[in-house]
Amino acid sequence: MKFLSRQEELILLSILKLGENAYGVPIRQHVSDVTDKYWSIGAIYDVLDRLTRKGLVSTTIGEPEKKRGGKSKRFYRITKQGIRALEEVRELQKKTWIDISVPSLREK
Amino acid sequence: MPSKKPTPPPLAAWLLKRTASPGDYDYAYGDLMETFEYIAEHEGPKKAKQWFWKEVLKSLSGFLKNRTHREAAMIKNHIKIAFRNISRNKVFTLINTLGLAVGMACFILITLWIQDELSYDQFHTHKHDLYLLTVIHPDNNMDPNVPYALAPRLADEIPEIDHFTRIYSLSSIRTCTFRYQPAQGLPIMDYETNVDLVDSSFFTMFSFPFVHGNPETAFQDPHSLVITNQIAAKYFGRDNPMGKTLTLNDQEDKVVTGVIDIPSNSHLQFDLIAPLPKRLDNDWNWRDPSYVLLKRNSSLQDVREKIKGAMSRHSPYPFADTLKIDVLPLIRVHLSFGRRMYVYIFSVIAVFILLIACVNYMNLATAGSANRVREVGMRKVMGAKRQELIQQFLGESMLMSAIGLGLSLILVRTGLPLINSLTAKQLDFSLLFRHSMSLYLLGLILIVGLVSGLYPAFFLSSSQPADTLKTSSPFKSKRSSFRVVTVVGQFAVSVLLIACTAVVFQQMDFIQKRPLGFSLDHVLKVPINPVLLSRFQSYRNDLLQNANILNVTAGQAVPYNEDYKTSGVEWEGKDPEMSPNIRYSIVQSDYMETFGMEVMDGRSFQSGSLADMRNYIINEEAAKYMGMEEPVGQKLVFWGTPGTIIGVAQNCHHVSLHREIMPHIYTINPRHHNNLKYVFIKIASLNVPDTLKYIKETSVSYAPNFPYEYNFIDQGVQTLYQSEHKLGRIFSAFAFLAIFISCLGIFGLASFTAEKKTKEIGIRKVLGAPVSHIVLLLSKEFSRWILLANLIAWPIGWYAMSKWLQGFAYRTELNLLMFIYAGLLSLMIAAIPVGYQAVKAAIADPVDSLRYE
Repeated sequence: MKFLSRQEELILLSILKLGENAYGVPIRQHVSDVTDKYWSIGAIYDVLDRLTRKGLVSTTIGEPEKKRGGKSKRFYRITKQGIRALEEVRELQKKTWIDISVPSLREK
Repeated sequence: MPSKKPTPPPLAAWLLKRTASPGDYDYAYGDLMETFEYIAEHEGPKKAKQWFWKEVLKSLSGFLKNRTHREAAMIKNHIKIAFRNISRNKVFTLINTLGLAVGMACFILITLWIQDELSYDQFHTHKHDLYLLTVIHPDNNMDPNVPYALAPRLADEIPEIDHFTRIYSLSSIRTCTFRYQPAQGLPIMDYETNVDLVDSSFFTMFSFPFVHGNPETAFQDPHSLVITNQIAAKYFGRDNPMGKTLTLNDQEDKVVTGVIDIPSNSHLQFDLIAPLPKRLDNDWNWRDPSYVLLKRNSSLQDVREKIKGAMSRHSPYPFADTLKIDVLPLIRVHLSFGRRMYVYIFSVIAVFILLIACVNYMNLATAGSANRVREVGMRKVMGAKRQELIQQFLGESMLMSAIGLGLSLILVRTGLPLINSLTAKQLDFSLLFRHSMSLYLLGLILIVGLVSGLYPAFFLSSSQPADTLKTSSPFKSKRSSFRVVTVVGQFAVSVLLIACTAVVFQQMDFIQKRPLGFSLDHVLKVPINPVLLSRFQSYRNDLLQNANILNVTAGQAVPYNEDYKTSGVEWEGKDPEMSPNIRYSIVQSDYMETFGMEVMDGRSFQSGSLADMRNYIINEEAAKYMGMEEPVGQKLVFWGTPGTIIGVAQNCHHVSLHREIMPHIYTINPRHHNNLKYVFIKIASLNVPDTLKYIKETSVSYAPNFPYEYNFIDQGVQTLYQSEHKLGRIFSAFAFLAIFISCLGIFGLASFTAEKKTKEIGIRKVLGAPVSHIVLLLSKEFSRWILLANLIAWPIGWYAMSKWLQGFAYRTELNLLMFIYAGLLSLMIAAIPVGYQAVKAAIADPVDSLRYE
């Protein structure tokens, strides 16, 4: 079983956090805020498509909206498999960090 | 909200549409629009547009990465299917790639050849300002040679002419020997056959690369000499040739001031070159070319206008009014005078052969495509769009085309030495990998892939899934008309090439068999030198001491290639306005006897007769030309020497059969003996080695300071027809290739037809038809097409070859039989693949072909 990539993890978590409102704009906003980095729409959709193909998220299409140039929103919702994948990386994270202390730069 | 709604930049939106994967575009666009409108509202539309552009550009890498993920899977599937097809139809694939490879190899070879032809004289720095002076005859024939006195006069009166140079071919009017005496050891001597004298501006005008020496100072001294690399190696070996002395004809010392390397793509070729003495400035004879260098940016139109009438202004000839002087740009010289036609012919052949190969691919790719049609049906059912299918098939043909190119490069590599020996060129394989050429090869792959793949792509992708997935015949019969047209076209080209080859060979045969009027058997050619010339009579007498030496004479050239013309002839009853055009031979007595020429009327020259020195022999044509009923005894003035005609010789072909026999005068006047270049010795067929030894000893004892060499001249006639021999060989090679590729095509078509008729054949067999009947049924159709191809090819071939034959003054008759033979040959060759397929279909078990599934 392949583990989630960091990007996939980030986006899955933001979908989980955004709940009902998880579509392109807020996802990008959230990921950019958390990571403090610029994410292009293209990069976001690349990851979202991958997650969809793997069945970790499901999508629903909203109504066309005028302020979106007549286009609909595509909402993302995490699936059971998505939850499991997140749990896996969390377990992995925990296991790998046990008994490891990294000297922090700030505490010096 | 403002009334005018801001819109995103259309180009950026388009770019987004092209890059985002189709499923994502709508939502990504919507997302961007949301923010876009927000920014437009708060920061203004300009900012918003900038932002939109930035976003789209920054998204490129993400979208493209996403897209390739998805498409890679599809491409992987296409490649897998392509390779499955290749391995399923191994024979087809082999034939197909082989056909493409051969066609492409032909095309590449011809391109290399044409490129070389077009590269002639391009290496000169002043190539755009250099011109050859030409004479335009009243019949519009262009003569590359002009009188020696012309160029200096033109340079005096026309300010646009910066420099001029005349070429005076010394070695074509007298024997040239060169001797080098090293500090110690024996002298090195040899005859040189390519010695030119030129004006001292020669190297200012032409940029031949100097290996040693300086082009500007090479000709400052009148005794200087510039030689080529090969000559330097011959006389000086590894020593530095600069400043060494070479002695011309044992009397004139020349100092080497330069060594040059003449590129093979220069139309000017020589071995040794020296400055020309001034004395030619009043010489109105013409035998050699002259070149001028015009000032930069001078008007060519003006110059042509000014020089047009130069002949009538300056020349002493009364007929000069009819001659026009013109200039020909240097870079066009090589292709003028007949070669351009070959470039055209070969370009057309190259395109045709490539086309035949592409058509083959089409036929073979669509033949036997029952499986492919089902595959297309399946893909369509699964949701493939037609465009995607076209892309798939084009991709396959591109793949084949690329494999074909790889194979063709191997073929070119192996075939190049052969082509080089056929065309006497030094084409280099590495030329193909220069920058522009690799682009050309890439283009070739694309074009061949496109041309050969387009029809199969559209044909296969057009099928309806419902039709194709039925088990009964997946084909519609009308589709084969395109194939028939292409196969007929292919065979028409093949028949055309076969017929042309046949005509060329028949003309060669005609030339070989035509009696020339003289015999060259057992005639030896020994170059004359000043000593032999001055003591010719006693040399001849000494030679004749040997009983096996039958005749000894001398001449200015070999009798089969002796094209010296003059207008300096007067006779009784000649129209004073007329400018005669008569060939002449300066010879020694015994000439007629040595070459077995027949004197029809009167007598031949008598050896040792003083009176005969001023007497002349003319040929039958001359007697007719001069309007003499009884020529013997009539008066004739040749170059100012009055004499009597003592004999009329039979007409002989002194030039190649391309040209007419002209009026001809033979003289033995010693005033012109400086023009003699060869001793001709007729020997008996007995004891040849002893005779040769005797001739050598005698010659060396007379002229020990000159090298001795000899040739038998009986094989020399063939050299006159080298280009025709080459043409014949090249045509037959192309004909072979065309027929080969066409056979591949007809093989594909035959298998297609056989497959289409599988059920029909099965039913016929069940009902009791014999195998022979079915083979006939399948072959009949093909014979009709090949007959049609013949009907198309014959008139074209007839027209082209009668044009070609017009280049010969003496030619074979075009014969319908030859074309019929070409047709029969094509039919016979085509019978092999057709017959194979027909028999295969006929002996197949009807149980297999008739079962439902």
